[in-house]
Amino acid sequence: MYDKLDPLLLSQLRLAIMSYLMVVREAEFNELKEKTEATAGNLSSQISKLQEAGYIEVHKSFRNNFPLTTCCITPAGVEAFERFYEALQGYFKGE
Amino acid sequence: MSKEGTEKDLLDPKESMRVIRQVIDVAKKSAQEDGFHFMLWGVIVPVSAATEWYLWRSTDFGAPWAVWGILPAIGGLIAMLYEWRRGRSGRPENMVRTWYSWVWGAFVLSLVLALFFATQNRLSPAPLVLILSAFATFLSGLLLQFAPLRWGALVQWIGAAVCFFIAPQDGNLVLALATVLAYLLPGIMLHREYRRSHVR
Repeated sequence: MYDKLDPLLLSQLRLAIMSYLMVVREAEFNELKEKTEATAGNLSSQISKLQEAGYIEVHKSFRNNFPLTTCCITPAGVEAFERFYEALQGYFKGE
Repeated sequence: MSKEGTEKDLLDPKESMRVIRQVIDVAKKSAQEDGFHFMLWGVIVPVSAATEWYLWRSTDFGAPWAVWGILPAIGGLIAMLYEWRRGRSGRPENMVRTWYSWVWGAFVLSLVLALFFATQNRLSPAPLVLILSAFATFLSGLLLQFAPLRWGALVQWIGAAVCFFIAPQDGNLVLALATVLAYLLPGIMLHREYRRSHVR
């Protein structure tokens, strides 16, 4: 019997965002865009979904008069990712 | 690595694992440092320490400690210029880099206080510098997940302990040697690793 995987993390881009933030904990929007090779629109939309779930926090500020969006993973996000990864490993046991 | 996933194409476990591994690998590379500061100070500190030791041992020069006002000042300017250029190139910030900057910022503050304390009390600054530097180097090794820096920190801690058993002026030789092993060599290794993963 396999554990159910969190459907929110079964999207490639959302999983990529969460995996990236698990390592660096906090990243600017442009860095996420560059590393995931996503379009700004799609990235923005997936970030909103993760934010709604409480997995990440989004901070908006200014740097050198330019808008700056920063995303950071929340403790709930870390827990969800760890649970997801643990459940995922269950699928490969015995392979 | 296209990540334009939509609700319709959900990942299967195998694909999920591939995405996680791939992205974590990318994230680790992006959090890497290029080792520039370790190489810079890995040259400046040993040269300054060895010069002071030589002036004290072999000449009548009355203020051998004055070398610390020349080379480190030049090093500080080079380091600031380097960071300024890096900032202008639009290098994105992330938590690892932020923590890394805080660690070395706290080190500089502690160093200034320790040097002031040492000179006021006529103590050899070498062991204090080594203890503080070892702490910051060790934390950097943890943040960057780079073992040679953690080993370098161990060398600095051992060097600090050695300083308590030798003449205060000879502490400069220990400082020079420990800094080559703790900064310069790991710095070169870090730089090589950075180039390997960023220049293709």
